[in-house]
Amino acid sequence: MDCLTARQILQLACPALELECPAASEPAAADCARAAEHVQACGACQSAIAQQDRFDRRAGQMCRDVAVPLGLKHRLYAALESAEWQATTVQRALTGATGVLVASGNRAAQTTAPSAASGKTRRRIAMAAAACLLLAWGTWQLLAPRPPRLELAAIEQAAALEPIDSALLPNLARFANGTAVCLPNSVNLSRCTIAAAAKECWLAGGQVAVYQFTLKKRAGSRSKPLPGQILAIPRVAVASPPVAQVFLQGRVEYIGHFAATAWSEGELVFVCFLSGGEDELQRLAVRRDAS
Amino acid sequence: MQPSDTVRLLEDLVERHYALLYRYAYRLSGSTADAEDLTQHAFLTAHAKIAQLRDPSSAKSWLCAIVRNAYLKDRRGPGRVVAALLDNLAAPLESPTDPDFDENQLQAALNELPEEFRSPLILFYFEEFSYKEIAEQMNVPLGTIMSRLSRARALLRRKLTTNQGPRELPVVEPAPACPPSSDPIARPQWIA
Ligand SMILES: [Zn+2]
Repeated sequence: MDCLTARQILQLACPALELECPAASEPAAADCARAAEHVQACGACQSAIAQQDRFDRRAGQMCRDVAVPLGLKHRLYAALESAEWQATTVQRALTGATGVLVASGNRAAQTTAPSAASGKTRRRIAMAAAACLLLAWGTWQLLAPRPPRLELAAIEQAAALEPIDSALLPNLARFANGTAVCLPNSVNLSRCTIAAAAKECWLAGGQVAVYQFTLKKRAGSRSKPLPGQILAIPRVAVASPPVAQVFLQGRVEYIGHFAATAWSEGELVFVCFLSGGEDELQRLAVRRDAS
Repeated sequence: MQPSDTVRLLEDLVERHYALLYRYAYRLSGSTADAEDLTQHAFLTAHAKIAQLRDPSSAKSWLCAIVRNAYLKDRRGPGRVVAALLDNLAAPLESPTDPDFDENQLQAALNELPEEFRSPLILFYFEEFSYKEIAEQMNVPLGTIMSRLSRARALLRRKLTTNQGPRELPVVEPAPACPPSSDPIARPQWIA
């Protein structure tokens, strides 16, 4: 048996280079034994097989060595939670609505049977069925499970007290519920250095997009640029979204070393944190005369 | 199965297999974004079709098969003609030295392999599945899988040995973009 045939038989039979006889559908056991015999006596084959083995070990190690993104597991749980919530809601709605339909249908069938009800009676039955449907829908609206709501105060606390290292976080373009991540329009970031992409962070059990920035120092000031961050959270996920609809329309609070203010804008709730006081936050306000 | 059992089983599946699925999806697609999408798709499909999983011990293979099917669907077909031709190629390589390669070169070489060779090779390198399990996942006979694995290993080594030119730059994915400016909360003009 020549080298090439021997190696092909062995590779085909034993990809892991275990010199054992293959399954019935593979090269015949006799061929396998002869190939193994050849390799045991052939230095060139032994060297070639060892080389392929080294290559496989290295490629295999590299192949397995893939960094899993931070927060992926949480994102998967969030997606599954959302899917489960939708599934239960739809199922409950369907069983509820079908029950009502079947009940009203039966009743209609009874009344429209041989006695041939008048048009007035049919209208009454239709109205009763519609009322039943409306009642069922209302009950479902009240009783249907809702996705868990996030407490904004807890998220603010977590964000202010735990330094967020955005270099370690993955980018976030869309929240698990599909809402697009974006910066607010009502903050003037022209004096800020800010990354174009938001980072994904999990705070107080909620998925939050974080834009970190620095506010340039005032002209002539010797102070350092001020660090700040804007958090964005889907409005539907927040238990009590802020009433304020633009930046600084609501209260300014002091949390940790930051002055912070929250507002709702579009589909998102934003919280802007800035190291410093309310005066510094004012520098981020969009001047009315500018627009 | 009660809804609470389903949720518990799915949580268990995520806990046990999400990293493997992500790695498999990444090696198949060569993109982190696609890998995450494929992983999420696999678990959402599992959620929708959990009743089809008769034996929880085969969940790992089942999930990997979902990932591969979704990947193939995205790519509109596995390119069977090329794979069939290659079934008869790739004799063992005679090379005096071990190839030197890095992660990007490995991924580039994997990307160049026909999918029917790449998928079993990745699963083989993951050391998580027997040949029989790989064959079942690919839905081909055991002998075909062994033959493809043998050729895939030789092909990969050949590619990495002959592509010893200048190293390719790592792929940098573009930063995610905000919605177009017609969106009510579009990115303001002053953002670079
Ligand atoms: Zn030989």
